[in-house]
This record gives sequence, C-alpha cells and structure tokens, in this order.
Amino acid sequence: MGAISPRLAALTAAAMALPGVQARAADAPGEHPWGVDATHLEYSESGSRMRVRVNQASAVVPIGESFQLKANGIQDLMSGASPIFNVPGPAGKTHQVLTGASVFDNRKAGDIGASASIGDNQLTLRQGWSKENDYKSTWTSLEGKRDFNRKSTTLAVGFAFSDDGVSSHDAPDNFRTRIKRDFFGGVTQIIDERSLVELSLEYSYSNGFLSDPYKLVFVQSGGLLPDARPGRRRQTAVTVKYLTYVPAIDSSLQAVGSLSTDNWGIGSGALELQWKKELPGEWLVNAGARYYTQSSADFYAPLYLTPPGDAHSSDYRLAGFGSIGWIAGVTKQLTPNFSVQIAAERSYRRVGLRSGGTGIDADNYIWGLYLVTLQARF
Amino acid sequence: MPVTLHVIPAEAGIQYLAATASAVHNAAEGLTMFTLYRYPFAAMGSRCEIRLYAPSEEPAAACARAAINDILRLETKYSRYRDDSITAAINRVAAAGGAIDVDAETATLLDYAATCYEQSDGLFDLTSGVLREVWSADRRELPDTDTLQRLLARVGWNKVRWESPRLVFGFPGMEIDFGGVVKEYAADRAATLCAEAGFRHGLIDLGGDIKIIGPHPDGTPWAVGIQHPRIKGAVMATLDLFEGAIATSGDYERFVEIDGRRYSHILSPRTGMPVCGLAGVSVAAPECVVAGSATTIAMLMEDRGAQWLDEVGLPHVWMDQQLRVGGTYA
Repeated sequence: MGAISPRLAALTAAAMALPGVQARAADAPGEHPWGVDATHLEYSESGSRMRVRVNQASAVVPIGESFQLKANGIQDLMSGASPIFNVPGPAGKTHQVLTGASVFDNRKAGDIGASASIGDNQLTLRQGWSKENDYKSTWTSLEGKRDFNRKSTTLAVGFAFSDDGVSSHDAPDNFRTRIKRDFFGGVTQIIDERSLVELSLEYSYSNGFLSDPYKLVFVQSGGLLPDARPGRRRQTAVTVKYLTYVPAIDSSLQAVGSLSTDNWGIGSGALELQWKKELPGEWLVNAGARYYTQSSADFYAPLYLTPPGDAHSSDYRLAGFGSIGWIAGVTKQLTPNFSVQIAAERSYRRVGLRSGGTGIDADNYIWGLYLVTLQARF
Repeated sequence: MPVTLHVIPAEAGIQYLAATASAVHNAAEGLTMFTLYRYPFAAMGSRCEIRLYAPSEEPAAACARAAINDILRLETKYSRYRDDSITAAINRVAAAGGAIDVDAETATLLDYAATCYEQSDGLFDLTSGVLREVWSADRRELPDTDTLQRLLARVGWNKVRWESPRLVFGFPGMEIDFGGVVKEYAADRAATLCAEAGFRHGLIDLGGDIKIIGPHPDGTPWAVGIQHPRIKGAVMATLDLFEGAIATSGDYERFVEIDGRRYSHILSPRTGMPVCGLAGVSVAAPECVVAGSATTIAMLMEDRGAQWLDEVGLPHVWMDQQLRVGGTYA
C-alpha cells in the first residue's frame, strides 16, 4: 500500500495490539493474508548477448495464526550469445569469440517453505530445486528471526546449503558437483519514528567444480585451454541499509551500501539510492540509481601470453568492471485485494569503472529489464 | 450466495425502495433484503447508537445487545467514578505511590497511551487528569500560578514507570484517566463484534466517534456530518465514509466559563492551562482509537495541530479560533 508516515505506523501498530480492534474492513486482507503473485520479467543485454524471459508465480497460505506455507515456481527461457574466449585483434585491441547466434536454455525452478511463529520468534525452512539441461540444483535453507524491544529490533540468522550438478552440451550426462554453504546474520533497528537501519553479514564457502564448462582461455604461445578456477571459494559480504522518511518532501529515501571480498581476489562495492513516494489514488512511485564496482580475480586475464598456472579464466564476470544504472517503478493498488507493479532498470557496464585489476572494452555492454507483477491478497 | 440490493442510503433510517427491491428480487434468486435497525443507548456520558442492516430484526437485536454489553463492560471497567473499576484501583496506588500489576487488556491500553505520549511529544498524557481539580465546570476564577505549579508536579507520564504488566508510581499524588482512549476503543471493539457476527453494513456511533462496520447495502457510503464548533446544530462539513472511523474533538463540547471567557476541557500537561488552538477537529482513520487520539493530540498541539495532522497523513478537517477551515476535507 506504500509508505505511511512513521507516526501513523506507530499509532496503528499500537492500536492493532488492542484486543478486538480490527484495522480494516471485513473484506480487506488481514494480517495473515492468503497471497498469490505472478510476475513476467524480460531481461536483455545489448548487442546479440543474452536475453532472458522469466515467468514466476508464488503463493502464500496461512495456517492458523502461527504457520505459513509458501510455494514458488519459476520458468526461464534464455537465448542469445555469450562470450567463449578472447583473441588478440589488430591494433592491440582484444576481440571476442561468442557462441553461435542463439543458445537456448529452459530452466524450471521451484521452492516450498514453511514458517512457524512462536511469540516474537519465527523459524522458516525452505527447500528448493532448479533444473535445466546442463545444470541442476537442490537447496535447503533455515532462517530464524527474533524481535526485541517491542519489535524495534529484529535479529536474523540463517544457513543455506546447495548441492549443484554442472554438465555441458558436449557431455550432458557428466554432472560434476558444486557445493555451497551460506551463513548469514543481520540486525534491523528502528532508530526513531522515521528511520531504520539494517546491517547484515554473509559468509559463503563453495567447493567442487566451480569452473564454467563453456568458457575457454586463449594462450598466445599455443592454443586454447578450458576455463579452470580454484576448487574452493570463500566470500564475505557486508550490507548496510538505511531508510528514512523526510516530511519536507513527504517521501522515503533509501540507501543501500555493500562491500564484499573473496579468496579469488575479487573485491566489490555497491551503492544504491532510491526515492519512494506515495501519491493520491493509491499510487506508489520509486526511482533511484545504482553504482557497482569490482576488481578482477587474481587468476583472470583477457588472454594469456604464456601457458597459465592451474587457475585461469577469461570470463567477463571475473573481470574488473563497474556499472552505473537507474531504477524506476510504479505500483498501483487497484482494489484492497489487487495491486499491479511495473518496474524497469537499465545499467551501463564499463571497464573504466572497475576498482582494480584488468578487463577489456569488448565486455562493455548495456543491460535492461522490465517486469510486471500482479499481486492478490485475501 | 447473498446478493446485496439497492437500498436508499438514509440517515433517517428509511430502509429500501420496495419497487426496486421486488424487481431485483425477481431477477436474482437467494437475494437478501435488508432493513436498517437502529439501537440508541447512553454510555460513557454520551448519546450512542448502533445501526445495523439485517434481513430480519432478531439477529440485529442480538448483535446490538452483545455490542452494547461490551461497551458497558468497558465503561464500568475504566470508570473514574466507580470504586470497583481498574482505574480506581490504579489511582489508589497512584495516590499513595507504589506498584500495581494490570490485566492484559489494560496493559495494551497503557501501551497504546504510551505510544500516543511518544507520538505527541509528551502532550497526550494519561496523568493530566489531576489538573481537573482546578478546572471543574463550576469554577468561577482562574487558578493562580502556584496552584498550577503544584499540580503540574504531579503530572507526567515520564514520572511513571511502565513495564508491562507493572505500573510503578515513583511518588504519590498522581492519577490516571483512560477517558481519552476507552470510548474509541469501545467503538472499534463493537464494530469488530458485529463484523464477526456476519454484519457487513452498519455503524457504531459513540457520542460522535463513529466506526463504520460497512457501507449501505447498495455500496454507497455513510454521510457523516461534522458539528460546526460555533453554530449549534449546523454542519461544518459532510464526509462520505465507506469504512474506517471518524472522531471529533472540539472546545465546544465541555468547557468552563470564567469572566465571560470560554476555557476548553482539554488541558495541557505542559502549562496546566486549557488548550487554545483549534476550535474543532475531525480525523478519519481505519481504527476509531487512532482517529480519536489524533483529534486529541491535534487539539493539544494548539497552533501546531494542523501541521501535526499533515505529518501523520490521516484525512482530517479543522476549524481554528478565527473560524478558518482547513485540512484534507476542507
């Protein structure tokens, strides 16, 4: 429904705690509504690079006051070209060799979850699956949350485990294992009636086959080698979010900053600023900008002059690069039960915005997405 | 499946157009015909009324009886004038100093009042009732500064320690009054009770604090007239409400007249004096208790009342002492 003023939020929350006070009309959604969401998303990269169409649907079913079941299903259709390796070109410029005009892949993914609330504590268990021709994944996550100080402080801790299998078109039945464990913790603190801050930490440890079976590296002194990355990856990330309501402009401003580092030598930073405003007639608009920068992996090179060591990759995702982009969206509450959201993003990836290491101009591209979501609550 | 029909929305209590009703009745099987039933009563020092649309009188009467019983239960429980009320029990402890453990319902009301205190920057204060000692209706002269200062020493929610369910009065001579929240809370509860009994169309009116159960059966809103603060019987604005609640507060409701000047019954916990800002204000909110406390806070804020209402973002209308009208409904 959009942002209500912090004063009203405080008064309403206290009123809702009074026994026998109902906040809404009888046919409007209650505190534990049934919900169904459907989203269509189109993502595309400039040139003839990737294009993804996503259809997603999810449902939430409350069981009594304390339990909730969730289910989520996704279908993606990916097409377009992707860089395989780089070759030296005339005038010292690096050229790219891309996959044929269109690679098609169809991914189906889904997850189910259950939440239980006991007093100020909430426990959520989720189990998910994902399947495409050359990739399959099974994951489980467990998250615990607890509210303190009359719900002004929330602590969350969680663990997720995924067991993936990676194969390729050349050897479709040869699935190699990739395991990832994720530990995360966070604290959300309501500072005053207008602002809240959220701090979260995440540590993940992956091992197994972490390379990309479709990528190659070019070695000038002799031919092509398959992409080969270290068998272990440890990533640490910290994120800070600050949200504040500014009465002078009757809007909320949100800033999200994050830093991450890993044992491959990739360090990254991101900053996102967003403005959100509620307009008469149940409209909510938001607009913002996002900046991202990363340094390249220690073993990354666009191409190798001499045969590299055990770890080597020319994958553009491990390169040094940065991006700058914008976000815009509008949500309309059609009735107390239905809302529709339309959002768009566009981002410009540039090697010049990298925070360290190397990258190549050939990997500069623009990506954009738009999405439409229909949401129902009963 | 019940289908609603066209009913004339009538404050006067007219029920439905027979011709329309029969036409629709012939067209749709299983149609529900509604009649408006009205149940006036007195509670909490006000004229009150429950209005329910129902296919027949019996369920409406039973539901109204249950709702009125709950309102009277709250009146008894929180009355300042009854020795057996929880308010009296708290005030016996408050007078002597000490601690008292309260029941769950009272605890949520104290939590709510504490939130109002915070959101009004300390102006909405359950302990300011002590000031009535010098502002009774039969008062004929202004209290002197020393008297006010002595009373103000016994006022202040910040002097009370509230750790649910324990209320601790650090020093004696204080007093608590739930008058500012119980009536509106009672209206919310009564409406929930009716909704849970299956009523979708009707309202609860407790002395002008109104909670809508649902619109008229044809879907049209209730037209609520707002009393003009200076012209008795005149309406300052008429608001259409489909749902939610509206509460009104004004300096005309109860006042003391000293040397020809009117003093409002709303007393500032800062100065000990009656407030002098808005002549009247009405606020709409999903919950009557929020609408009610917002009107009281706007009155207590005096010159800043209108600005505070804008900041809260609830629909409202106000009139100031110069009879200027403002707000989102103006």
